[in-house]
Amino acid sequence: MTSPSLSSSDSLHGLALEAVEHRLQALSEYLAVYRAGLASGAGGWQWRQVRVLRSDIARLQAWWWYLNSQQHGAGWVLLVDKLAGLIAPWLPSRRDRPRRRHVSRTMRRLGSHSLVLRAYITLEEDLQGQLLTRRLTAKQFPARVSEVELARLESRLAEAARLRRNLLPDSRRVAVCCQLLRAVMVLRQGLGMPLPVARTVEP
Amino acid sequence: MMQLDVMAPSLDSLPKVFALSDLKQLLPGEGEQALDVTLRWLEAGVIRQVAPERPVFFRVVLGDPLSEAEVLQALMRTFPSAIVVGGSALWRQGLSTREDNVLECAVVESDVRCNLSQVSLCCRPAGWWSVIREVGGLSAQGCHGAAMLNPEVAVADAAAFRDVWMPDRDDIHWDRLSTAQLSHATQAMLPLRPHR
Repeated sequence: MTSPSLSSSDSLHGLALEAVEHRLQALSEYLAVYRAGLASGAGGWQWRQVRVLRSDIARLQAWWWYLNSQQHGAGWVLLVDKLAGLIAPWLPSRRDRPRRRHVSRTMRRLGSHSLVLRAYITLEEDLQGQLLTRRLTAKQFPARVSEVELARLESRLAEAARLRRNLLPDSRRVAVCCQLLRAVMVLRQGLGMPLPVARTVEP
Repeated sequence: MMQLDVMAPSLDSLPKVFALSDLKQLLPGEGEQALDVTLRWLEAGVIRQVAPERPVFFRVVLGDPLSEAEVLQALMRTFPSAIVVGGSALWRQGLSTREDNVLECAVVESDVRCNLSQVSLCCRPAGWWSVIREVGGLSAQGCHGAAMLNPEVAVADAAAFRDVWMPDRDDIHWDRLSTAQLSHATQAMLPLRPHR
């Protein structure tokens, strides 16, 4: 039997994986539409959008791999953590780096930490959207929504908020993790080895 | 409650289509206030969710419905895979003499419920977007920033799936369609056709 703290940590881990999978699904859908647009001769500015989306998806896939392996207790995760701990202090923090200029109409390139944080925020907002629908239905048709259902959703929302607030490592550590694992994924792909990828429906 | 009233931003200060994140920007705190304010607006009927359970909303103003650009903006924020299809794509490219009553759009989600009365959503299987890419099936100009099928692929898609509105045969300018492209698109859609 698992202790309450362990099961709570497991459920947060599951929520983090779910958040990354949801975000990957949305980004894959945007990418599918942009790529179809490019193939049909749509505006050249979409090239940049496609590049940004591909980079975002690759980094999120890397983070998903990290989380998934951590959940399954893979030994190499500790090694990556140590490596990230060693490299991270040498990286300039995001505040120290000059801001890049962004051409209007193009997507902003996010740092790995912001990218993962956005995935967590998006899941939180999706849960809030679900809660709003249920609460509204409960007010208009009380018999259609049970108190248990509402309580379960509220508890998931509280966990998602906790995940966003407390459970994301330092931004430089996230960046090192994502870039390192992304490079490993490229290497694995080059060697023809199977890639660990999140469950998303490729549109 | 009194404090909430004082803090609540005016609905007029928000765009006609907005997300929960937009409202959070205007309110202090962690988002609980935004949730309360949104629920009150939903109960009052002054806003609606674009689709059930999605955190994207539109303002309901009597006598001032959303413009097509706003409808498409709401759709794109809610359904990233949305593409204008069917008779709507034909009408907007001048290939049909019959205007559509509702905007026909395809999405990857199987739950196609949508609260926008001007829109009808249909679900397309995984792989459909790849086929659209292979046949170069999107119109280059798009529709208010949204993706839209080109006429030949819109006809091939409507014939394959039969779930979107199309004008009568006599209302389509067949002479302006490329037979080769229509045939190519029809062939490409064949493996995706649902079994009946």
